[in-house]
Formats: sequence, C-alpha cells, structure tokens
Amino acid sequence: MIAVFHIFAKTLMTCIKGPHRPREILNHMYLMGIGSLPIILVATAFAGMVFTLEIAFHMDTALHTVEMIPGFTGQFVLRELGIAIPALLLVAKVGASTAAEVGTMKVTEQIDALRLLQIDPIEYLVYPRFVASIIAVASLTIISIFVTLVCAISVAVLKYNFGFLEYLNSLTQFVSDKDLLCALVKGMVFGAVIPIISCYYGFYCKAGAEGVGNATTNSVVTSTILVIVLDFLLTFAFSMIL
Amino acid sequence: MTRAVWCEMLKIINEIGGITLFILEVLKTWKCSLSKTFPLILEQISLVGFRSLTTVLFSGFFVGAILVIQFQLMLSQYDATSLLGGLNTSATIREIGPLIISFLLAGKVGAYTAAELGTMRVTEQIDAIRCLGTNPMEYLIVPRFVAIVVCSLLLLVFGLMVGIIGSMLIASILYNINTLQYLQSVPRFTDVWSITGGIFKSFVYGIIVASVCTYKGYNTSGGAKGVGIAVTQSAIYTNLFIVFANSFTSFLLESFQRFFTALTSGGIAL
Repeated sequence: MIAVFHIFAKTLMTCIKGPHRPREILNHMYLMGIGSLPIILVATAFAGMVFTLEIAFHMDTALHTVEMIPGFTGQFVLRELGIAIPALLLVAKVGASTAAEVGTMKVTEQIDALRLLQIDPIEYLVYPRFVASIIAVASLTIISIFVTLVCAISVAVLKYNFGFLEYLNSLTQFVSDKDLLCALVKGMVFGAVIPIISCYYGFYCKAGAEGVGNATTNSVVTSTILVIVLDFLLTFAFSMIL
Repeated sequence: MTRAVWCEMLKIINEIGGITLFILEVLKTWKCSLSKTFPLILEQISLVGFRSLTTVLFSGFFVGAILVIQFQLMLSQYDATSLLGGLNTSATIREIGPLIISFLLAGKVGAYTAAELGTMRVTEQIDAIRCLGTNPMEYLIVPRFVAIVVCSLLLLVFGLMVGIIGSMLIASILYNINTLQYLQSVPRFTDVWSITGGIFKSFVYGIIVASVCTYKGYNTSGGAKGVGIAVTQSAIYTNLFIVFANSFTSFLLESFQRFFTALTSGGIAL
C-alpha cells in the first residue's frame, strides 16, 4: 500500500526533474490513445443511444413529456457517462496490458537487469506511461463525450422529433464550459490512476505465469474500484462548484 | 482512421462468430449427466460468488452515491427534487446496476477464468483431460459457464440492494432528504417491468461474460504470452459486447413492454 505512494511520489519527482524522454512518451501515447480509439468510439456511440432512450422513458412515465431530454442528457453525458464508460474500458484495456507487460518483465528478471544497469525502473517504466496515459485518457474523454453527445442527439432527432438546432439551443442552457473543464480534470485523474496501479501490481508480481495472471486481474479490479471511488469524490467536489 | 475502425469492426464480427459457435458447442453438452456436473457447478458458484462479493458490495455503494449527487444536481434545476428517489432507484435497477456489476464481474471473474483456462490449455492439461476420456467441455467449461451466469444474477441482487441503500444514505447525509420522502416517489418510476428488465439484462450480460472468457481461455495459444493476450482481449471484448448488448436489450425490452401493455389493455394498435 505504501509502495503505491512511493511509486506515485517518485513518478511526480521524475515529472519535475527529468529525464523526460519525449519520444518514449509519444510512443506510449500512440499505443494507448490510437490503440484504444476504435473501441472507445464504438462503445460510447452505443452508450449515447441507450441513454437517450432511457431518459426519454423515465421522463415519459414520470412527467408525460420528453422536452427535458436535451438538458438531462447533456448534463449526464458531460458529467458522468462520457467520462466513466471510457475510463472503465481503458482500465480493462490499458491497465491489463500494462500490468501483464510489467509483470512479465518482473518474472523474466528484466527489472532486476535494469537495476543492475543503474536505471531506476520507476523512472524508466512508470514515468513515460504516467504522462502518456494522463494525456491520452484526457483526450479520449473529450472525444468520447463528443461522440456520445452526437449519438444522443441523432437518436433524439430521429426517434423523438427534436430539431437539431432546437436541441443544441436547449443544450447550451444547461451545459457550460465549466462542465467540460471538470470532465477534463476527471479524465486526467483517471489517466493517472491506471498506470500507477497496474505498474505497482506488475512490480510486485509473483513468479510464474500464474503470478502474471493474478497481477493482471488484481490490477484491473483495484483500478476499477479506485476509479469509482475517485469518481464519487470528484463528483462531490464538483457539485459544490457547479 | 476509417480503415482502423473498419479493421476493428471486422475483428469484432470475427469474434462474435467464434463465440456463437462456442456457445452452440456448450449447449450440445446439455444431456451430460447432471449428478457429475452439479457438484462442480456448486463449487464454482461458491468460488466465483465469494471472490467478487466484496468488490460488488463496495463499488455498488459508491455507484449509488455518485448517481444521487448527479441526479440531485440536475433535478434541483427543475425544482423536482421530490423525484430524486424514484429516478435514482429506477436508473439503478434498469440500467446502471446491471452494467457496473457486469463490468466488475468481467474484470474480476472473467479475467481469472480466462487466465486459468488459458494456462491449462498452454500447459496441455486440457489435452490430458481429453486423453483420460473426459470431455473438457463438461468438466471445465460447463461448470464455469453456469456458475458465472448464476452469480451475475445473485450479485445483481446484492449490488442493487447496497446501491439503493447507499444512495438513500448519501441523500439523507448530504441533502437532508428523509428516507421516507426518498422512497415516496419510487413506485411512480419502478414497477415489475423495471425489475424484470434489470434481471433480464443481467442474465444477458452474465452469458456474455461467461462465453467470452471461457472461449478466450479455451482457445489460447502461444505460451505464457498467449495467456496474457487472452486475458486482456477477454476483458476488452466482454466490456465491448456488454455495451452493445445494453443497447439491444434496451430496445428489445421497450418494444416488448409496449407490446405487452397493448395486449393487456385490449386491442393491439399495430
């Protein structure tokens, strides 16, 4: 448990004093960002469609009107749905592959080899992933919010006869750039959680193929729970500001 | 970019085909002797259930709490905070509860199952089982498959209870909404249909988690690295298929409900 904070603190220290190795960071950003983009696009598109349906159903049963769809959908997508769904998907995809990669390095004694060469494994392995993941997850959050909203709007236009401009007009009344900023902050926090937790489980992985499997599973579960808990805390903090 | 999306789509379609064939193969073992598989199924249920119970309870509580804050923020703009309890309970039962619980199940149980079966495949234990005249489908796959589906339903019940209790607690602590007041608007939103819908969704997601993870684990190849790839892919594909299934089941349930209410209220308006 303390080791997690140790890894986190050391990564932050490396952020300040370097070595920064921008090429490595770009490489990881490509792997995480572009590699997860297709899956995020497909998944969030479906989520947006369902959400409009659900909100319309609830509004219809409770208030017998669907006029509140734009405001409700916009706010929920910008504050929760467009952020949580890609974060949970990325925990499964990026977190699992990072834990498996670092765990395999540990098991095959590559990390000990790094130490022998006087290279700090946290600086060398965690730091580039940390920076890359913060940038990649934050950008993917913005992209997924956009995609979710577009799909929500198209379902509302096609199924519930909203005008496109009418929808946008009522959307702007309920959603401001503050929401987008909060979404960005949430995305960055979730992006920071994923590599720290998965590298921790990778570093402390037990020997053998089973150890790697356990490390992967544990890292996915822990990051999922941590993302949910942090989401709660951040939501609460932002609810004071908004 | 379009090419990448297209390639991804083709890969997904390929996976869906493989998984469908796998499910058919699992269904073929239907007439296997129940007395042999039943103890195995019970063992797996206890393993799967206890392994994920704490995780489900913990995150169910926080999901309920998040929803309460979000809905309170939105509803206070419309001066409709009296609807908070109903809206929140209904959203938890119909949508968010099954989704989050199956995500967790995929991460915890699914990944473990894929890793276990994958290691067995790579170390040729599955071939050894076949050599001994036992059908690995009956001995390994069916118990895990049934256990994951049953556990997804059982865990749904616990998760929903904790989620609803958590949202009531947070509502009363943060927003001074009395529990009775909170529960007052629940019947307006929640009926038999919501509960049926939630259970149906959870059942479908359970089948997805079970089939994808056992399929990926059973068809692992390429040593220890192959096991890692199988685990990662099973986690991704389960989450992806769950999101797909979410939209399809929502459409399906909505149209079915409309059809059924039309049927019971007299004439069917086609």
